[in-house]
Amino acid sequence: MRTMSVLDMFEFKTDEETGTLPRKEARPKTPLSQIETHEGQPIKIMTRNLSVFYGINQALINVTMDIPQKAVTALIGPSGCGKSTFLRSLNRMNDSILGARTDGKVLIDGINIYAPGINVVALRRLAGMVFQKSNPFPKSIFDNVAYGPRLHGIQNASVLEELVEEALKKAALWEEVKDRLGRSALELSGGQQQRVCIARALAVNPEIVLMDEPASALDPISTAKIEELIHELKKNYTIVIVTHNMQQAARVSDFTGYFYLGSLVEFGTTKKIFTTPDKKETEDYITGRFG
Amino acid sequence: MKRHFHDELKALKQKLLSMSFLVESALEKAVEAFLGRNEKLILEIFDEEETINQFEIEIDDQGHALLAVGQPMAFDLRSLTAILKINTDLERLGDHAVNIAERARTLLREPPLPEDYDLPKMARATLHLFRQAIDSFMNDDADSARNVLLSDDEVDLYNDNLFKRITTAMQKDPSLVKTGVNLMMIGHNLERTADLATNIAEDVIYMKQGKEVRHRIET
Repeated sequence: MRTMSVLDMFEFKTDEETGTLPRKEARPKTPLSQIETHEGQPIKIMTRNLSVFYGINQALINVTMDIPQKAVTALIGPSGCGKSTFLRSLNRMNDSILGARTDGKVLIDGINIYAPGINVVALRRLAGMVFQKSNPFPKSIFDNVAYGPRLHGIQNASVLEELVEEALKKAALWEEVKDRLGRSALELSGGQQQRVCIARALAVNPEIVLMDEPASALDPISTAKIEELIHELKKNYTIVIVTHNMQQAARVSDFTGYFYLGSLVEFGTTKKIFTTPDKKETEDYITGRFG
Repeated sequence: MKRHFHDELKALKQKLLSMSFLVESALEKAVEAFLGRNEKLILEIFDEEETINQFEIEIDDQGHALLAVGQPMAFDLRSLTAILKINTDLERLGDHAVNIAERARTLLREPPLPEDYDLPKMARATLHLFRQAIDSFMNDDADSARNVLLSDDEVDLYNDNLFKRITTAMQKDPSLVKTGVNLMMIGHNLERTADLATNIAEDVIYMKQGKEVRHRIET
């Protein structure tokens, strides 16, 4: 499957502000991701004054963050701090929640994904998601991984086989399941099921992988496998991970954002956040003096 | 929220404080033994050094266990690494006390000094620096630690003067060579003691503020 362009997200070729096709000469000559940097890393996702409301409750307050490309960014904070809401806003998963409203911008490669005319299905192909609880379909391992490519119109059996093998290899699961691709994914262990879900997300060639507590329900060995996998995946993908496990955030991420009461309190390199954070609130939270 | 980890960290800090009392006592005795030509004190220092070494091993052991089990972050991490580094510094300071005591024992067999070459003043300044460094650590006081860094030059100056004056004295009267060399070594050990006190102060500043000030780098 060919690599996706951000412009594929547009159902109608629209400009982020006006809803019209940006003229070729008006588009940045150099992709934004190559211009903006954070600690020397190009930026893949930028949020600007991002707020999310659930009815009258504001879950996210004016969050401005630059998420570097091909790196792991961890989002930490106590329950209800807005980190999952933030994650879900990066591929418009909040759209499906009744009464949810989003203000501000989320720019992926410089394009506002909340602009009119954005194809949300294409957006979610570009920015795949892995959830806390592994949720394989009650289908075979093969069909789980082939689901996305089929949805995007690929029917050729040999192409699908190739895609499935590639995705399972990227998810570090191929060796464990290659002889039983026809068996139900539900027969696998929890850790294997989670890697099926990661393979499913990777099978459609995303550029961004969003992970919401991907290892919280797993035993230490499966957790270690997922963490090693994340470390491998960041060579090719921009990864954003929500985790309650601070040691995990410290182990797997390059950048960390600390959220509290819907606001981004501090964002920086993981080394900085976990050794010498600037804000006392961050210090108190990560040393367990908070609450 | 109270955490079991913080109780253990506090206990380890207290243990380091106990170790620092022993080191302080050994350094004081070493200076006193030399100035007062007191052999009994010299023997006490050798005994105390063994206890200091034992402390070093226990603190290292408990510190590593806390690192593994508590997986500390931020201030907790900086505090624990400071404890481990200061632990090593204190053990070295105990060695310097022993070195001074050994020189003092050699000097017992030589005639009394014709003059003190400001060694008592140098010793007082050095011990003051050491106490201030330990106090800044116990009180998490970066300002006090910065004062230690500023005062280190005073001890260096005493040592430079000591070196010059003894060299001149030995040139004039070669019979003073043995005494002179031993006095220089005592001066050198005091100067190293002051250096280690500044290392402790630098660790305190990093622990408290996350700022790197070693080698005159300020981050």
